Amino acid sequence: MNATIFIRYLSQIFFRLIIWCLLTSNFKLNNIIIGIFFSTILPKVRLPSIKIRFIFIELIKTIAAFPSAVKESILLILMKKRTETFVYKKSSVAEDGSQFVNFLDLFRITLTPLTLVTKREDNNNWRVHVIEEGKR
Amino acid sequence: MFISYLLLFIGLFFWIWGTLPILNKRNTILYKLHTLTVSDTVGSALILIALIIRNSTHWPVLFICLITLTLWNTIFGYLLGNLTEK
Repeated sequence: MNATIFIRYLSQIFFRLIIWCLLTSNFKLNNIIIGIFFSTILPKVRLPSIKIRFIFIELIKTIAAFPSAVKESILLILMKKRTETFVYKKSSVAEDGSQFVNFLDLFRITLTPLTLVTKREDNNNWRVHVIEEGKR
Repeated sequence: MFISYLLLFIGLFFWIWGTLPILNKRNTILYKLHTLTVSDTVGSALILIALIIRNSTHWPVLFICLITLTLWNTIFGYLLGNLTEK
């Protein structure tokens, strides 16, 4: 039990350290030491209590959405006739589930140009605006 | 260098293609949001990737720009789409 809490704490420190190094654009040893100092004195944030592997899979899916965004934008440019409809799409977790996974799910759908989340319909579904090829 | 120029021009084309339909009154507001996703998110991301290829010494700052731009544009797209439901 204690080991998972420690791993979570370490990942939080590591995430802050990466942001620090990117912002200062300096990866030298003394700058990394300053970054570790700042990331440990910043207040602790309550982390979501779900499995790390689940978050990892969701992150991989989100990164995979970037190439499909380029593909869908080319499809949208080449589209001659289009229809606009609303569909209901199942979300990966319920509304009262992890906020972070909900955010990633929303981000993934809205990032691709053919789909756009407008609101949460009920506990398990998003209301998604979709552009499809077909008669106007 | 050639890939950098190619990505720059594709990004600029996406910008122009996505921004011009805003002036067309026949398009619905949600369609305009879709075209703005093409221009603002994908076009800007392609231009930033081209800049990273051109001048790789500044990659950390450009990378942070890339992440924050996609985050803001996507969340603003969701926000405006949500407002049309009210």
